[in-house]
Amino acid sequence: MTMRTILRGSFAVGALAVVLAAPRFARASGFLIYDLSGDAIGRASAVTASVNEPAAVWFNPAALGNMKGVGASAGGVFVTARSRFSPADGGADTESDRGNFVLPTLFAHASITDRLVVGMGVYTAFGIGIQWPSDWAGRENALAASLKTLAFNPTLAVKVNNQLSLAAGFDAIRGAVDFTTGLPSIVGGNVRLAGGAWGYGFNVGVMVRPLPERLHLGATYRSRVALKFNDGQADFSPAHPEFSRDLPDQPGNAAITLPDIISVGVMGRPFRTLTLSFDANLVLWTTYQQIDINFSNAPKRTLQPDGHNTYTLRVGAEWDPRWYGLILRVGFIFDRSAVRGEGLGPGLPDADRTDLALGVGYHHGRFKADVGYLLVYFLPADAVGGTESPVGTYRSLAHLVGLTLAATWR
Amino acid sequence: MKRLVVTAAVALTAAASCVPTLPHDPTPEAMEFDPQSFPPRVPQPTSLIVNPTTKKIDFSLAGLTIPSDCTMATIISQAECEFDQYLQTLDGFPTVTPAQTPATADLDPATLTPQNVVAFAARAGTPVADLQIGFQTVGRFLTLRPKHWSVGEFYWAAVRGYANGVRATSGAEVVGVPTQFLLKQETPLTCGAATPDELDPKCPAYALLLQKQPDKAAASVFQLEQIRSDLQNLHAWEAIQAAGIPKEEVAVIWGFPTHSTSVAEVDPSPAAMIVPQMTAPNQIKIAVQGPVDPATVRSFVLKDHFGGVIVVDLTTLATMDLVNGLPHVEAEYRDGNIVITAAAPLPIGHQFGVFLTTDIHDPSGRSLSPSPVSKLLTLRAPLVTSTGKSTLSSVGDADASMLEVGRSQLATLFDNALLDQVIGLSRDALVYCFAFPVVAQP
Repeated sequence: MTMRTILRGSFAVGALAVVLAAPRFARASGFLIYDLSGDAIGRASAVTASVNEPAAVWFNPAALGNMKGVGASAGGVFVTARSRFSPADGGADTESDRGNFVLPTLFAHASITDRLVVGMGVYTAFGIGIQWPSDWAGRENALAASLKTLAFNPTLAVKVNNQLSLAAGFDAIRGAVDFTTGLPSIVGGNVRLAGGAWGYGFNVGVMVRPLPERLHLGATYRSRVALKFNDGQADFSPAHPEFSRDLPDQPGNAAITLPDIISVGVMGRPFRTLTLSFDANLVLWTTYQQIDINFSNAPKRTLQPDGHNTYTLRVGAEWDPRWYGLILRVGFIFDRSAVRGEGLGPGLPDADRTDLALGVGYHHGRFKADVGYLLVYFLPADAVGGTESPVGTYRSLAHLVGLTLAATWR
Repeated sequence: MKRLVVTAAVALTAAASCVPTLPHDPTPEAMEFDPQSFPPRVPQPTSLIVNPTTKKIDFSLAGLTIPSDCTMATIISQAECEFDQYLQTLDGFPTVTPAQTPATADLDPATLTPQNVVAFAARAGTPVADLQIGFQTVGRFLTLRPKHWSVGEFYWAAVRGYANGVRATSGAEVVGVPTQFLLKQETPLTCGAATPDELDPKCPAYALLLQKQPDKAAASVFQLEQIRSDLQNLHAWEAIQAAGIPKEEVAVIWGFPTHSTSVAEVDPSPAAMIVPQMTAPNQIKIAVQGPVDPATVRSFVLKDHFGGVIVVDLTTLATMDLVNGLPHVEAEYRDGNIVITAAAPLPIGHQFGVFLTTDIHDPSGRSLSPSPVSKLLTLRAPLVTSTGKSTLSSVGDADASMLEVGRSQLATLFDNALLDQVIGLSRDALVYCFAFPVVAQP
């Protein structure tokens, strides 16, 4: 070892610092926000085989084939969530700031012929939002994470016959990321990475109605969508100016691939007033196994959340008492975590979840209003390994309230 | 309804596609400390190349091995090799060595003030006054020097950076580099580990070094810790604070010793002008730093005695007049000077050479050390290339060219076997060498 080797004057520490953490407020596994309408939320979004509103563009576009006239809905989903981290060494717990978000949705459909229906959806199905205290133990893993997406989803549904309808759609998704993470403690300060990207995908759906209005089967597939943030900017703010030259503000890029989603569902209506439904989602979170963050002037940083393919089971019930246009709904969800163990981090403290859903709807003529509530209870999730997160346990709780107003013209 | 949907969609798009505009912070300039670069960009002189065991300058500590036979030198020039061999005989740096520290940009001269650039004599316990501070744009070096450094001293030098310190000509703030930041730490960089095997990868400084060169991080952190603890234990920060710069404002700090042996200095550069003084038509004074045993100050007198003070009338000697070419002189040590008195006034217009040899000692019996300029004038290899470039990294082209004139002329003297035999005028025996014309009566 020579003096020249030993006394290096520059340190490229940027790579150590940046954690492109994934979203946390997400309701379904990973950072998927599956529940996009007040109607669906009330019955745990178990609607692949039973959706009967413009939001079918998202849940199962093939269902549009059975919708007449013109319909539209507008609404929003209010999400509030908070996480708590308990370090394994017995130190004090750390709570994230409470994140409150409103995710707007717009859906519309129109019949072109008796068999063709076009639809359009503008919605947020993936998102991020979490902020941790600036001095917490996992500051080098994540301080704040934000991913906003907006999907534009035109679709075309074909009613083949009274028992079968098919649909296909196109997804254009705009994503904007904004992540902040702490630089190594000896450097201090933080780095913020922001960028925007468009990604594209497609979706298909099928609806089979062996017994129309009594027994339906549905299935959808939504392709993965790569968001390549090639025009990102990194704002390094080391606490100690000695590191400013080695960590200048610079371009950066990263990519996140939104997962494929496969959904199947069944709806049964044992009585005219009671609808029961069951859905299963398979979400291919293996798209989220590794994220490379490249800087123009700093070494690459590779994150390894090691996302797993995961499933979600949904059970819903809807009771129409035929009383003043009111409809009551209830549901239950079991949602497997997409990220486990060593990949678990504060940007996405994912966990197995059990959700309880409640909802109420009101119909009056061509108008419809639905409100759904979802209590999302995250089972304790242990972060191990110490690379993507401090070692410890994450506990989270989230509430979703969805409100949708819809109208149809026939 | 249609209008509503379109309006809402546009609004949603705008909201979702809004990418935050991040600020673009200005990048500061820095006082460099990068031994990895070639040539290394580090402050000089530096105690980092003083061997703690031998107490001598040792370039191998900087990864540079000086050949014992300079005619075999390949990586460095023969002249550089000869000069480095000389430096490696010293237990500190020559007292006329200017200190310099590199910067990443040209520095604003208006900010190169005694408040921002300081030196502290550790053994004397006082700040160094009357520093000459400048900036050398070739290579971007901040330079500082007193008239001369004292022998046997250890100096700390530092530059104030950050908000209140030196600035680049662009106006940019000048900061320290990460290495300097690590050296400022109050706690051990090794987090208490005694051996590389005990290092905890989470130890902050070690973790930082691990990122860049994992295979060398362990050795690096121990080396840096040695320097950090030296700075702390030798009270470097307190010294610089006493000189006026608080630790947090230090952009670069370094220390260096000067050699402990006495030296008859010579430095004809305009910044120093340390040259023999003619104090009478027949008298020359040579200033000596450090104590001298007066009994060893004896002149050379042809056919009489072989003293260590030799005066040569080079003009006369060129006519092969050995008797008049070696005029009769007396030498004595008086008030810090070697005073040479000739029997007759030195003839105007003649070129004289004054030489001191290793026969002159300090009271402890150690020979005087050669001064760098004297050494350069006695090198065997030329100081410039055929294109006029200096062959020594530490000597500029202009200085090398000026010295090369004298060196090449004196070389004929040193290469003269007869003179060597008669008066013992050999390169290895010289500690002082200077030639000058007698231009006027004082």
